[in-house]
Amino acid sequence: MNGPNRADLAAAYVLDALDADERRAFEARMARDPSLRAEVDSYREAMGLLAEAVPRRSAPSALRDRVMSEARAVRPMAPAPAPPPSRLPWYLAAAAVVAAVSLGLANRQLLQSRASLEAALERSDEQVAAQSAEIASRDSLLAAFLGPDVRSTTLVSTEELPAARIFHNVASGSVVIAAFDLPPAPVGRIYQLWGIPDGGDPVSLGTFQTTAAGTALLRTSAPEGSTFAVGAITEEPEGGSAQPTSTPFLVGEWAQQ
Amino acid sequence: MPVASAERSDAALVAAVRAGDERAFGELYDRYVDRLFSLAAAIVDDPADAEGAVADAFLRLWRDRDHDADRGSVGAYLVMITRSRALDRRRADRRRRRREEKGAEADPAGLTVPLASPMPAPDRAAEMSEAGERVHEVLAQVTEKQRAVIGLAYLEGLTHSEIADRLSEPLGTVKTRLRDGMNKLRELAAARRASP
Repeated sequence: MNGPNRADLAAAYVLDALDADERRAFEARMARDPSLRAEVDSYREAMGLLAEAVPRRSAPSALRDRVMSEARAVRPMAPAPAPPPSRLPWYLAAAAVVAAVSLGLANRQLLQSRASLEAALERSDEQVAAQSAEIASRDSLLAAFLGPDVRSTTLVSTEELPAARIFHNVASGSVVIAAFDLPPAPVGRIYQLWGIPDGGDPVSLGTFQTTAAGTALLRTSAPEGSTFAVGAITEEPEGGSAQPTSTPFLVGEWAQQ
Repeated sequence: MPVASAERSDAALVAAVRAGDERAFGELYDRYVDRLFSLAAAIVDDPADAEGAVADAFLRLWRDRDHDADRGSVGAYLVMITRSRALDRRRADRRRRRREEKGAEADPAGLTVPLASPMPAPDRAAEMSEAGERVHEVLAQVTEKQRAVIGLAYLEGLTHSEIADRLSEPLGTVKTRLRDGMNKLRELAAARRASP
């Protein structure tokens, strides 16, 4: 990639102005070339400045209350409030569904999950590259789910497909999601991953969309040191929800240490 | 609240937000909300969509904590998310309108958008924020054609092929204009970091 072409592409990439094919090729290139990523980051700062060049508008004051209240619902703000009284919510029923699906199958999948995800990574360099904007580097991804303090779960539905595997590094809070055979959420909707503590309310672990091929591989994070009994995926409105608004279609019990 | 507490840096606020500090989150909100809302309002037609895009950006910062300080400022991060969410809403809005207009067999010519640059021209400086004036000076250094290309990409989310079609210009010319304009802004961003 020569100089001017490289800058053309980096500037256009930051503005989402590359066509789909160019974008995929550029992301694959960027995953291998840290200096290209740095160039992209420098243009991103330039893009930040552009926001100051539009006519100034004041945000409505009610927006502040809305954001703060939604933020509180997503995760507690310091100082942490007392945990809510326990109810019998959907995720306890979800755990029972998991047991019913087939404990043997789930266990075997759990044992195989690390090895098969590694193998999937080997096979799917391109896919990893395409997700590189979300994943700092392949090494750190591997470290995130091969560390000694990692708990994993395979989320299953009552059908054979789709499936998702979740790896949670409790010490660092890193969470890796690998989803398969999951068609992209419809326009205006997004998938949301939940971790459910024993006796607690669901905690959002981030939102994601799958590729046209039905796969997703990305890293997100959970509050450091938190542990979860059950993992679940729901479909939510774009932007995600503070608490699940639909019944999860994928659920799994988290392996305990 | 301390009577004369010094204003905390973005980096200090981000670190506090990661730890779940509500007041730090509120400070970051107050610092950036008008800039983000102005941007979103320039992209979408419905103010409710602009509010939604801004809320999405702040909630993502709070919830996912995926801002990486090594890769850029929190301001640039929030701008990136806000713009992306606003463009998603703009596209959804356009799709809905196209469906409605198709249903009503509307004149397709009504769908064409004027050729004018969505990026404000330099003579509208009165509407700019104080901080925006320097950016505006930079925009004033680029030609109207360069500004049009940047504006179509930035505020309408068009790819450079789509911009070339819209402006009836060769693709290579569009790419060059986009790059040259972004290079000028990048120089300004670097100068700001050197002397904030």
